Amino acid sequence: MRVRVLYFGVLKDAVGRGQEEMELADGASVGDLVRGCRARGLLAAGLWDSIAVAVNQEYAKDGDVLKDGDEVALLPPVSGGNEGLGTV
Amino acid sequence: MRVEITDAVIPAAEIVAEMKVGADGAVCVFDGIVRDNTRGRKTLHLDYEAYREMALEQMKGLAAEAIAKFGVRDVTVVHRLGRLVVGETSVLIVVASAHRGAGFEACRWLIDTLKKTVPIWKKEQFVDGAVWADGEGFPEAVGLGEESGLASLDTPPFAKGAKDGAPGDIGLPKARVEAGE
Repeated sequence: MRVRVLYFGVLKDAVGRGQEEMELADGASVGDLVRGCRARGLLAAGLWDSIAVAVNQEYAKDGDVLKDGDEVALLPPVSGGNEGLGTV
Repeated sequence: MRVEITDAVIPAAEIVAEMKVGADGAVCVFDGIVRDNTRGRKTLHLDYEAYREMALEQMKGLAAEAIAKFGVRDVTVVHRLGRLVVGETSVLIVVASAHRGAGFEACRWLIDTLKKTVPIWKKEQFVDGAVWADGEGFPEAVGLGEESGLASLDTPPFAKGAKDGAPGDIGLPKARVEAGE
């Protein structure tokens, strides 16, 4: 099956593009996809531990099974609003 | 209920004025503006980006939840994207209610929750470099869940694939570029 993967923020910079299509084995889960992306070594491991995933614009869990045509967004910790609390 | 994501300047004063009706005893406003520094490092500007469709839906959900949860009369939530300079409004939250207590609580809850769950990010451009601002981290309800195993790479079968340098062996995705942004 094929899904569309969207990248945002620091992930988009690391991957070098905002989205791409991925071929996955039938029955692959959200966790399978994330582990696959993580294995490409694009980011520090710590960041992968803190991401969330949305499938078709709804927050998803590790075990959720994907289906052909899904839109899967990899979301670094969000930082909208105005006050930055993070380390610089 | 007014919920928007915009690329234009947020007319904060006009929006606040439009929110007031006779039944209101209080209007609480959170006007989030771009600060001129982060921990003393001088900020030139901020670039906000969003997973736009999802962010708007999340914001609508939060606004409706705030009305139900705190019993306030009406809520406005507007977030701006793109490049903002010091002093400009990035997010505006306005809560109109009969009494101040509910208004303050709803306003505080809205900005705190928005910052943790709505998919919007900002890149801070400093005089001497740029960085994606760290978020506070996702609450448990929207994270991948404890069972994810993402932090435990030692457990098979992932470790095996990783050690072999053959991620394809465990059914991992092969990326193909379709479209860039």
